[in-house]
Amino acid sequence: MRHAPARIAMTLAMALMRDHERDWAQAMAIEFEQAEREGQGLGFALGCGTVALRRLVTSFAGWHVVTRYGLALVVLLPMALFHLGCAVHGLRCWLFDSDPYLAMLASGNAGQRTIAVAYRNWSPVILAGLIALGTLHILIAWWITACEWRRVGLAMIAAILVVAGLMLAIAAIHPTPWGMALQGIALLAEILAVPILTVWHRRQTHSPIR
Amino acid sequence: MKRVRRPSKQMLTLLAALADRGGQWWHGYDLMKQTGLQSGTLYPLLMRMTEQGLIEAEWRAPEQPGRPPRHAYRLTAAGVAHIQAHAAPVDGDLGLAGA
Repeated sequence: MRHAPARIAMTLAMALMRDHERDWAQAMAIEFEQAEREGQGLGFALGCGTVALRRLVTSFAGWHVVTRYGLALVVLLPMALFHLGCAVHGLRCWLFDSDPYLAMLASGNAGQRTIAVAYRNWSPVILAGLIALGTLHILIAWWITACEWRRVGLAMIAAILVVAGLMLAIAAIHPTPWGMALQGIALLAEILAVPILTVWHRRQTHSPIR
Repeated sequence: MKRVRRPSKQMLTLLAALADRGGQWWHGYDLMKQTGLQSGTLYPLLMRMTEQGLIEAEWRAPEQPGRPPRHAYRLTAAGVAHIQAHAAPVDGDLGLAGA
């Protein structure tokens, strides 16, 4: 237990070392065992962590790792959570709460009734679309960190198809062109930004300047 | 024209320690103890000096059975020449690894 902080620090340091530095990481890990036996493990591990961090942020390849994880953790995962959160909220309303469209249906306004019927009919499609989109974002994030670009590409195509379906559903239920345009633009911006960032990362992975 | 950087104090300390044992192999942790450099300073130096061809690195069989092989380092002829060119205080009989 006394050695746990040193071992955690060393494991983190090793994880930060890039693939072509595996030999050095292995060398440090073995020397760490020697330092640990002499009670110097924590200092040694922290030093190795500094080396790994410094090499990560001072090289282009290191920045590629940082931005790849940034894209996955800061952009894609929050998007996934947002889509899944919307789906869960919608599911809860749809399955357990009283029908949210009852009031609209009961109103004498014909326009309101039309919208309520449209929402009711399209809700399952939209919920399924949001769940699929959230799941696809999680998969894309996972595969981007692993540099599995073929899978990222396939998932991206699937996400674009889902977005297209969602936009059709949104177009069907939105009574005003503005409401439809706002949601449509948000989805479109998302689905364009993510492929652009992903393609950039994939190109840099194969770049000779790495 | 490529600028030739004067070696840092830490690099000279490390070169001197490596030269001290002639052409023998050193392990990272032993070098730390010998030079007083921390791992955060020592390993970047070892990496850079290996890239520059001043030292050579090799996985060596363990001295005690049951232990994994350890990465070991020693000066190359270029490393010895580098010391002679930059560090007047380091003299004597330098081991010429790979010479």
